[in-house]
Amino acid sequence: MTSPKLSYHLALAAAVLLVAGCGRPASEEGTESVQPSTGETDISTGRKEPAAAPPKKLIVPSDAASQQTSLSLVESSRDVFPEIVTRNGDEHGYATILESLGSGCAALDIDRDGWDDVLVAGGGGFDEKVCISEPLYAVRSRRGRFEDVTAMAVAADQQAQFYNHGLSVTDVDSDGFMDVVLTGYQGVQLFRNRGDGTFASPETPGLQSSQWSASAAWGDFNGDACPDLLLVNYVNWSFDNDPPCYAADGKTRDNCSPKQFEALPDEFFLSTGDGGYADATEATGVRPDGMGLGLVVADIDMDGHVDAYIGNDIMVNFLYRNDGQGHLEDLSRTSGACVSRRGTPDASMGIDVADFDGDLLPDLWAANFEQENFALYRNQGHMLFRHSSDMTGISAIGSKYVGWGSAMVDLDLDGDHEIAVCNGHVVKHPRHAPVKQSMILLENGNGTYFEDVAHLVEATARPRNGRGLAVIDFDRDGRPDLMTSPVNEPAALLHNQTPVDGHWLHVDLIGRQSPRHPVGAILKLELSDGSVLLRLQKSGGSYASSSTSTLLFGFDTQRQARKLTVNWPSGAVSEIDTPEVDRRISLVEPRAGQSSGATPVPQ
Amino acid sequence: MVVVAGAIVLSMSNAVDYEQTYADGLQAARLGNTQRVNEAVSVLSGSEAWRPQVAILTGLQHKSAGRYREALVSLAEAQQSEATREESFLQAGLICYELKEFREAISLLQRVTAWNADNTLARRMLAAAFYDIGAMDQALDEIGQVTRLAPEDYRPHFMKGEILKDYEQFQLATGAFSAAADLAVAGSTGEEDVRVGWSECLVRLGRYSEALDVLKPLQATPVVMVRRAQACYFLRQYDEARTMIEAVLPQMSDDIDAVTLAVSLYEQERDYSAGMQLISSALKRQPRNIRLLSAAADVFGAAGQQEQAAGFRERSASIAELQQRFSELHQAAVQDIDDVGLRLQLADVAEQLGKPRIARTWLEAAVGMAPQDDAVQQAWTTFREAHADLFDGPRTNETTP
Repeated sequence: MTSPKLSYHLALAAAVLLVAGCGRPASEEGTESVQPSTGETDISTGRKEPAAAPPKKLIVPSDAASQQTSLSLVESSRDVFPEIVTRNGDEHGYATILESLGSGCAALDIDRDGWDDVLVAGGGGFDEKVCISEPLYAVRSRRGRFEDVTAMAVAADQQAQFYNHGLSVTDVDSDGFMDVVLTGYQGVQLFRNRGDGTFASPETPGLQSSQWSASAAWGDFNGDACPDLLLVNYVNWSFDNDPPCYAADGKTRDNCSPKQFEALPDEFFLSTGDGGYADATEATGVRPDGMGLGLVVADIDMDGHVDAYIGNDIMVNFLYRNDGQGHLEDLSRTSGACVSRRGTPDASMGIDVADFDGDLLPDLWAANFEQENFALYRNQGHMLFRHSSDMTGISAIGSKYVGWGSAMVDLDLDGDHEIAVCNGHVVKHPRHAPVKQSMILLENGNGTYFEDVAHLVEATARPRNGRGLAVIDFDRDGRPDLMTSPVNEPAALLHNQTPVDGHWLHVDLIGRQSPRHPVGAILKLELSDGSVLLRLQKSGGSYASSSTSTLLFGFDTQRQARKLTVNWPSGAVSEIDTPEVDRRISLVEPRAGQSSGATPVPQ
Repeated sequence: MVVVAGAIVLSMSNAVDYEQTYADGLQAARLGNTQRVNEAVSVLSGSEAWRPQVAILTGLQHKSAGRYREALVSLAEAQQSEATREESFLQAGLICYELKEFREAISLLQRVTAWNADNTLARRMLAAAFYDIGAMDQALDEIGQVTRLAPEDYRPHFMKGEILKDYEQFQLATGAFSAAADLAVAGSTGEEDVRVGWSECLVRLGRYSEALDVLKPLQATPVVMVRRAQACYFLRQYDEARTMIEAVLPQMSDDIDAVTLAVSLYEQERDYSAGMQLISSALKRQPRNIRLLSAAADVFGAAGQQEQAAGFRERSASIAELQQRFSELHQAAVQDIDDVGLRLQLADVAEQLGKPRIARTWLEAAVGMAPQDDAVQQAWTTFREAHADLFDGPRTNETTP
């Protein structure tokens, strides 16, 4: 997020113009019975050639007038969402950079009824020159019908304590109920799910921050089966450090660029295993100079240990490789995944990780500022990435958007990932693009080419001041839906009504040797034509938001599912032969020496 | 009847035509003819009324001798007279631009355009100064004014297209290039420049067939062939792209687009060895080019040579950091017009980036600001010794590839 900058290229071109604890519950077997597997545990984690091309479509570059898409997302006015409005306090007229960041949303099954519920970070406002919080909203799904349960779920004395932005979900205490951490200005707050549809926010030993965090993500970085927390922090703004900044007319106050401030160091909190945390920022090797906005944790190099990718504003992104002991190696200079195609830093906000081209390697995505290209980094293996926006047609969307929440998700159940991005400006009086911007919806043409079809889809064509974005299959029809939390606007549910002629399989993982929410797990679904679909259990991604933890597979009806393989962070492997499809299953991690199967979640 | 005798214009009555003498002096100053300027100054000095004009010409003499501060002092003398005020501010603005004092230059030139909105040179220089400080919108505004003043000239539209392209505003840039193409003379090099820039934008917008259409009227020069090959590559017409690029690569071996496209085609054929060889060869000639380094990392990575690939990325990152440093210093220099040390640092970083001509301009700016400063003189002497070749023959522009 930045204002127009003087590039090195321009600078040289002078004369051109002249001319809780994570102990195990006693048993899991009682909650999810499993079928024995007949499969072997030996699976390849090495690189494969791209999967055989599905026969159905190949997008080739086309004129806008001739564009078509089968994707259909319709904004649902279901129940309470029009009343859930995130706030940034801009009505006070302070024009602070704090107002630029907006808030995120999360999809999680709070009460374990099998239907994903929703949390929305309410944001904040001002009381004179004191930052105040808006509430953490809780919206319960009753079989796909939503009900605002904020007052019941989060008691007033447990509510958000600070101007807030981000949500990240995991099961910190392995009780089977997803907990959530809230990020924001001068605070971080853990909400523990009490299992009765309510959250408590007691003080968490060791988990304090006086910085300004945008996003957070969980992962077991040191292999102790307890989820650790990585927090990305932004800049050192305060009302005492609030220089006046102006719009292009030189008179009207507007939000400052981050260039006016110093970066705040990111923070790493290592679980102590007893419900507390220890600040391990220095010990892990986290860089002190980021201006972090987006963050995703997953096993990017597929070596069994979770890694991290951080989208920074106006500076290079960070890619950390974890050695499994919680030591993070900074690969920002060597990976190719942290700069623009010109080799210069972009201003990244929303990020994600997924295998877009079916070569069984996780690729990286970064949604950037206007006058920059959004970046798709194709994984070449060994943590080397190549900037592929030109090759894949991403550059064709132009550089007029300010991109935030992002989701790489198979919306049409054909096996490959579309990319959805919500956009919106950071200043009140932008010159080059409107404050409210339409989304980007990149339809994936067989992993080789993307075409932006957002303008052809009702719900994505509508301009919003977009920020948070999360994936949720709220109606459990197999088609992933989206929800978004724009600034000063109601949260919106984008109902996926794409006509599909495909199968789907949704998988919930339950870790035992691994964390209960096994971030870092790698799933491969082998199909009858020999192609393989890769999915990653991740934390974070998007911007300040948390998508459903359910892993989503889709594929056309001409292919059958042959084998589902799960590589758990603990090193355990599960194999399910010929899994039944068009359903949602839970899969429990085998104990040492055991195998595991799957059983459908009650529909 | 007027008789021209040397630089001095006399009427039939032998009375001096001061106005014509001054005009000739200005012309001579623009042509660098010192002797004729001196003659004009000599003549005009005979009249107290023409003292401001003498100050202008004296200032231009100082300027051509590289005595910028003295030039500004002389020009300041001419600011009080309405007859010379505009020229005085214009010339002072040009000097400040040369000294890379962009803010000062903008301030002076804006006063010129306030008095005379149709001063095309002032408008062009303002556009350049705004462009230099990264103020794209203001640069484009000024170019719009130039377009108004010279509606038949394709160049302002072309410049606008180039600026927008540089800022990756490809959609807007295509409009500017289209307007330029309508005005450029068919078959001229100007038309080729315009259409090549236009096609580049269309390729970046994924409108590959249109890019080919835009290039259709042009002769098959190597530059045009590279652009056509690019469009064909993205249209997956690999054979056509290969044929074109192979035909021009020998002549375009230093062209980044040609080399990187050829490497991509080798990768397409999985002929990594040829790709690595080509990119290594290009890097020997341009070792600090980030795009080449990125392409090298891509092809070495694809070939499974991860260590080399990471090495290229590392080199690329180092250069990018230097570029970032240059950009930051440049911004600082824009804000601080008196800091000689910043100019020296800019020269140093430019030299590290392998841009000695750019380094020279910043050193010259430092010398102009503080000619007696020992550190400046030392840096200037050292630089001249290290780059003696730069001081032989005419100066040429140096920009990033």
